[in-house]
Amino acid sequence: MQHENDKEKKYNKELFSPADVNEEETEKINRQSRTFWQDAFRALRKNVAAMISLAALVLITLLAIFGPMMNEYTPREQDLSRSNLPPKAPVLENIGFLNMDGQETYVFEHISAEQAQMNAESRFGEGDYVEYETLSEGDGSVGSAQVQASVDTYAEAGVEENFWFGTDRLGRDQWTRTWDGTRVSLYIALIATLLDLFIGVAYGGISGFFGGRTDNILQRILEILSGIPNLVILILMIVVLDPGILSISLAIAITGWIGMSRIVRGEILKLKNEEFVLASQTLGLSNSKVITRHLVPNTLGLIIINTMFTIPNAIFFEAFLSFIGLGLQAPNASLGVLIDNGFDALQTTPHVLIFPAVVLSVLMIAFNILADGMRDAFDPKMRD
Amino acid sequence: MARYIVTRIVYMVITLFIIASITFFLMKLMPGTPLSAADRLPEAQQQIVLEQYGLDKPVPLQYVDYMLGLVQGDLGVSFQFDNRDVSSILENRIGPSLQLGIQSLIIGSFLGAILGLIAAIFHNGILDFSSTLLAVIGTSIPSFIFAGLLQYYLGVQWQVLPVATWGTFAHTIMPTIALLIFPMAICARFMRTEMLEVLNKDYIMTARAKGVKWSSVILKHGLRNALIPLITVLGPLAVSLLTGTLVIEQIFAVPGIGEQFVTAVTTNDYPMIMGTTLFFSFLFVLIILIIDILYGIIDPRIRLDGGK
Repeated sequence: MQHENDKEKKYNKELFSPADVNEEETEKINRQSRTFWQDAFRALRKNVAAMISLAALVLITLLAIFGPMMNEYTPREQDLSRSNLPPKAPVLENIGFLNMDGQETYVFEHISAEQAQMNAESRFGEGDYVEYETLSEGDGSVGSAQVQASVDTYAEAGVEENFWFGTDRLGRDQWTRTWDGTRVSLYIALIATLLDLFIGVAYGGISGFFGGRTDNILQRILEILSGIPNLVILILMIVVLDPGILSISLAIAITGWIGMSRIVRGEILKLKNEEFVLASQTLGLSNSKVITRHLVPNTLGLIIINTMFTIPNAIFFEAFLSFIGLGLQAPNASLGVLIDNGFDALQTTPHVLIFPAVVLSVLMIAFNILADGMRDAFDPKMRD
Repeated sequence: MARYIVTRIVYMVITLFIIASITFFLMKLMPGTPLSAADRLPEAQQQIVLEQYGLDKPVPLQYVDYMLGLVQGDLGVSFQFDNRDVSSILENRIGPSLQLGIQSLIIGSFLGAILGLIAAIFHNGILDFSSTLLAVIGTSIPSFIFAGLLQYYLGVQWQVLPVATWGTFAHTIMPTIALLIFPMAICARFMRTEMLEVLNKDYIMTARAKGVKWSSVILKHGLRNALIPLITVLGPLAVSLLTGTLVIEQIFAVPGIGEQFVTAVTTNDYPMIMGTTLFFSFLFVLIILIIDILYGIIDPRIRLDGGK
């Protein structure tokens, strides 16, 4: 009590006057309100890893479109006189560890340096393009003497132009083939996305929205469809059709959208009992409008996230099939085919394997990281 | 529970029946005869061969024969390997595939769980970052690229392990490593999310407040609860290993079912394709059923017969 009296003494009533309260001022929102999508894209832009992935994907896509046009070779053009050339590129050849200068070194082993030298010369002969260097003289035991031959493979083959990713066994330009193969992967990604969006969303949407008997029948069909491994469907497609892009696309068409339809159905089931949907139905909005105006926009985030995870799976599926020889067939290039070819000559010409393998890996990693980033951005539950 | 299992098994049988029928009729739709050199064989001889395999009967009859055989576990006779039963070939070849699959699933999920656990404990630290990175790389890079790297370095360059083929335990190491990377990465990712969620729960805070040691909070309260949902991913992972074995067996020349399957497809050995297809489908459906039942037993909160 004593305390309050003190206060009253210091601050008496006359010192105070009512503040000028303007209702409009205080309630005014100073910044523009952001929609869900603006929020999501903001979160995505802040995600460094996702943005780097996006840049990598854009770069790969551009290279897939324009890469094969950047030199005069075609993916199927063979020329045995220039087979198995290592990669060589104008500026990069000066950077040692990249090993893109068209130089190859071979080590010959024998009991003495002379013998090893003879072996090396019988392989490469004499010329400006080869240099021999004795690494160790040897003591007469097997493999103790070593002679190293440094060969300018381009000069040896008499090739003037550069092959940026080298050439394969048949002298085909790997740069052109790699990007041509990337086109196949991107095409498969596109197909999978479209099927997911059209069949998956429609199937799940109808099943969830109409419920009851429709839902029951559609779900039973789905249960049986999902019991069949997609690999099995694909194999059957291949046996009936020919292995190739068409059979892969069909296999994806039959099973690829099941996951999406399940997610969409679940979300629609949840949404259709929400007040705003009931209200619009009570007000007489037609079913199709309820679906397109209320249900689909509210599931769009989930749909986008799920599509993003479908893409790397589809790309993997194609590469995997082509790799085991059930996908695209020989003269056609796809990343899987190229990697398979690379395996055949892994010990002698590793560059045939490395470039397609790196492109495929980067493609997969970038799509996965971007998908992760999108999930974090578009799913309100995932935000920190 | 029992009713649920019975319903599921009925669905399983229906699914398998449909797969068997589709496979059968698709094989019959194939152009040409299964005889690889039909034009060089005299008419009478062709007739004998067709009769031997029961291919001279009308298609519906062949279908009935095939289905009756299936029920008795008879998958037909391989075209490729003279007069050998498909089922006996599968029997001979299941060992290596099963060994690889089980080894990589167990080791992979175990390592993955540990990685995820470490990532969750040191949330946002350098260990978290590196294990997350490892998980992204593991899920993204196809197993056949890993297999190639392993084969090149361990097998060819350093020669510590046999490059390919089958025999001793050393032969199984490289295929197992190549196969387990994917399950490991998935488990690590899943475990990290689950563990972070569990560690935020009130009962963890209660345990901490009571003065329980941090290590036993993690192991007794955290880990136990985080492990339950991990079982749900094991099913799809086991299924993905089925696909994985196809490539890995091919690369390392393992005499397993996957390798046999690819050979059968490339040589048009129809009974073999049908048999393997059915076998794969059977495994696939069975694994999913087992995981679903297991999940219901471990976590009583899951109502199995509720709307799914």
